Amino acid sequence: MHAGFSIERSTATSRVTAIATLVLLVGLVAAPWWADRANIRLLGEIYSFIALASLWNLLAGYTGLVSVGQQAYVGFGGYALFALAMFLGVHPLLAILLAGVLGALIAIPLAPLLFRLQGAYFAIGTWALAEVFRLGFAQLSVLGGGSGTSLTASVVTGIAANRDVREMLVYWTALALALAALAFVILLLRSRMGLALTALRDSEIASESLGIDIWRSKLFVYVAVAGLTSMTGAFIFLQKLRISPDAAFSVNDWTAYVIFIAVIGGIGTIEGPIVGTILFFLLRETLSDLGTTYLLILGAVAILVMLKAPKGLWGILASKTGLSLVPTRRRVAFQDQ
Amino acid sequence: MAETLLAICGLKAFYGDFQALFGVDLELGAGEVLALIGANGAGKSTLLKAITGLVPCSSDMVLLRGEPIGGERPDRIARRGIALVPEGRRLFRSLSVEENLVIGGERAKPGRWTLDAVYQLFPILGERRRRPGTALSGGQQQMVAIGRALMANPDIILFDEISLGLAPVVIKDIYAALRPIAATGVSIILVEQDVSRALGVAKTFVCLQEGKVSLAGRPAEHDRAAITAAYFGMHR
Amino acid sequence: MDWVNAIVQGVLLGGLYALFAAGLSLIFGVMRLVNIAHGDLIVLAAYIALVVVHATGLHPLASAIIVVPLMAAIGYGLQRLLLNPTIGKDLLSPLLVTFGISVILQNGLLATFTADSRRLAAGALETASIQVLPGLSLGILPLFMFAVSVLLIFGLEWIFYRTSLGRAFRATSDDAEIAQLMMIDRRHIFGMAMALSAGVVAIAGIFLAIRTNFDPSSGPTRLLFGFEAVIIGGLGNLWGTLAGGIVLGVAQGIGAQISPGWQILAGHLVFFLVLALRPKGLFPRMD
Repeated sequence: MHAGFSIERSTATSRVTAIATLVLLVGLVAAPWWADRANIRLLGEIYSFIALASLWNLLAGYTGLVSVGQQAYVGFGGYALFALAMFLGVHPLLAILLAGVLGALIAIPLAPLLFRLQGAYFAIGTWALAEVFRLGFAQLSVLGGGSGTSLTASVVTGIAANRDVREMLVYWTALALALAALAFVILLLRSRMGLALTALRDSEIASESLGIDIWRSKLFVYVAVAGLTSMTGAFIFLQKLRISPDAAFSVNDWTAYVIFIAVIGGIGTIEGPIVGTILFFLLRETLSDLGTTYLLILGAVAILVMLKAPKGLWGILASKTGLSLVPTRRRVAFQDQ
Repeated sequence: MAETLLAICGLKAFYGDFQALFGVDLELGAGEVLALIGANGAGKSTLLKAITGLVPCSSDMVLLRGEPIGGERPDRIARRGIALVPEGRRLFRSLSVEENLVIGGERAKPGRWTLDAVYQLFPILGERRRRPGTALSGGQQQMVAIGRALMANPDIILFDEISLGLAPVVIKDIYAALRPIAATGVSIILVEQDVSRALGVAKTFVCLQEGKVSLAGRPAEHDRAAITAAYFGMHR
Repeated sequence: MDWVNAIVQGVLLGGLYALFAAGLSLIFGVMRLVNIAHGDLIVLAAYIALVVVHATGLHPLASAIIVVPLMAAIGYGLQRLLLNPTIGKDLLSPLLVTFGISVILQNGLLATFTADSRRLAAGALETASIQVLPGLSLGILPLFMFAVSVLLIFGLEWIFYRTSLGRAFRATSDDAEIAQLMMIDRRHIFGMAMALSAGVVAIAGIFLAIRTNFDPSSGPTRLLFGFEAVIIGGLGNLWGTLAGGIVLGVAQGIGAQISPGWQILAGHLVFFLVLALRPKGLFPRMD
């Protein structure tokens, strides 16, 4: 006697989540009307880190491409925005999109090069690449060389003449970016390609024997992540209004923090980077006065989590409760019994 | 019956969530040869891995001279005088033949087995001592793996699938070498697909079936049909 | 002559880069671990040398008698305490733990020694040189460092291929499970590999401190130089690593001749060029 069953992805929790998410989203979209200027800015920053951490998590936690060089694309996106807006007069918000396209394009030839490095050496290779970007942009005197450059006032007012409107637009852009990054990660993981990558992430040998398809999938993920990371970078430096090689390609700001976020939140989960980002900003707002000590604490916490709870905060929560707000796994639901 | 050297008591072992052994009992006397037989997947290799510490189990499930050693670290168990000739030989590929032998013995107590003694038992290895271990033929690699285990001067040697994948003429040579090894008084557990060959050299045998002992005793005590039934799990 | 000089200086610098690389290569060979904190350990050794020299008045080179054993002990401790629990699980855990160690080392040094850049004075040795050709003179100190680097690589090769410890390293790398049955405690063997790596790092750190200015953030660049020397030379081949270090040093020397801003960049670009043209490195190991 066989029980009837169906394969489904959504759970009761996920339906509740969907409603809660919708309410939350409406609140966040309306933030310019209830939050002050400083908080709007802070939210923008939080969104950019959610995007960066989710994208890094997709690379490292799901695809097995552990990068410590994503600052290459953050900085590239920032510089691309400055160049497009200042020299070609492209509207800054459009320039964010174009920066993403350029970031993806430049990643296409670079990815096969980096893929020649096995496993952990890939990680250091990505860092070397980011250094090439940093030193290279420092040589470009039109973009201010080593000391960097600021966005001209005309570019800034080009977004919108009214300051309130401008800040609203920038804020919504950040929100849209974070949502786009999350949507991309979720959709990819639910796709056939995502399932194959997840199944293979820990087995280089299996991936090798599966050959070209996996290689292509990894290429696709790397390039797409590079594009979205460049867009995020473009946004970050649009908000900062100033760029320099050291800030743009900072391993601390765009990789160490991002890895910390993913580790404490939970690598290999969709929710982890969001939880991690919130924790990270809570820590930052309370401890950043400590300066160096603050960074020491971050490093120590990351190691501790890695050793004692490698699935991170969300991983612990999920395994204790079986909770999955954004299910990517299909589960078998039995209709009777 | 000789004094019991190794006793397995109610051994349960798992690979992750998969249970491979369900309460196996076994006794190995000093200087005895025990044949461990059973179909593929019956749990023979798991049993050897549990004895050597490569698969975890609780301490009182493996007793060496009455002392519980189950679940100890593999290097500690090896120090206690248990050596393994693993399935598939598993020589160290970046080590020469001689280095493969030396590494087997350099942390162990000295005894009758030295490089010279191994080369006397397997003269071909002496001729090829500088070659990488993995550059040898399958039979010669098996000789290196046996020599590597002997170099530890162990009290117990576990042979896992000693003749698997070897040509018949080579298998004869390997079995010929087993006699002088057994004659030194070392205890042996022999895992072997070729049941009649294994029972030919063994004093006692244990047959596993789906993780449980299906038959045990002396080869002469049981007729062929009983052993076959125990092996394949047919009901009598 | 400027160019010849740049190349010769680059070769000598390459010896130091090979030293950065040797420790990295060693632990990768034994346990497939890539230590992101490798460069920061080099800088830590440089600071320890600084403290030792100030406290004892020893010559910087002589400080090695304290710095080397101390670094080896630190390496052993790090491995046993923080890295062993992560080995063998997946790629991510050990990598991220070493990343955390890197952050802690950098900021720990920053808190202790400030961001000011430092240097170890080696006295009269620093200016001593010999004239090899008209217009081309070589510093005694760079020559000495190059010779020590070559000797150390020779020593590492000897340990790896001629000693019991080296056999245990290779056996564990080949088949960690079976190696345990050879009575090898791999936690200890991994600790010893890291101790050896950190011992080499100690020498590299002292040399770094004498040769150039350094500050708490100097580590990552040293990691990258070492890593690039390993890949340029070919994995698993210490002599290749020496050659890789020299290629990198010469590339940087030539780059610096073109423009100071091109020194480091030229090294990175040569690395990517080699990766594009000879992905297995210039001197891949034959097996």
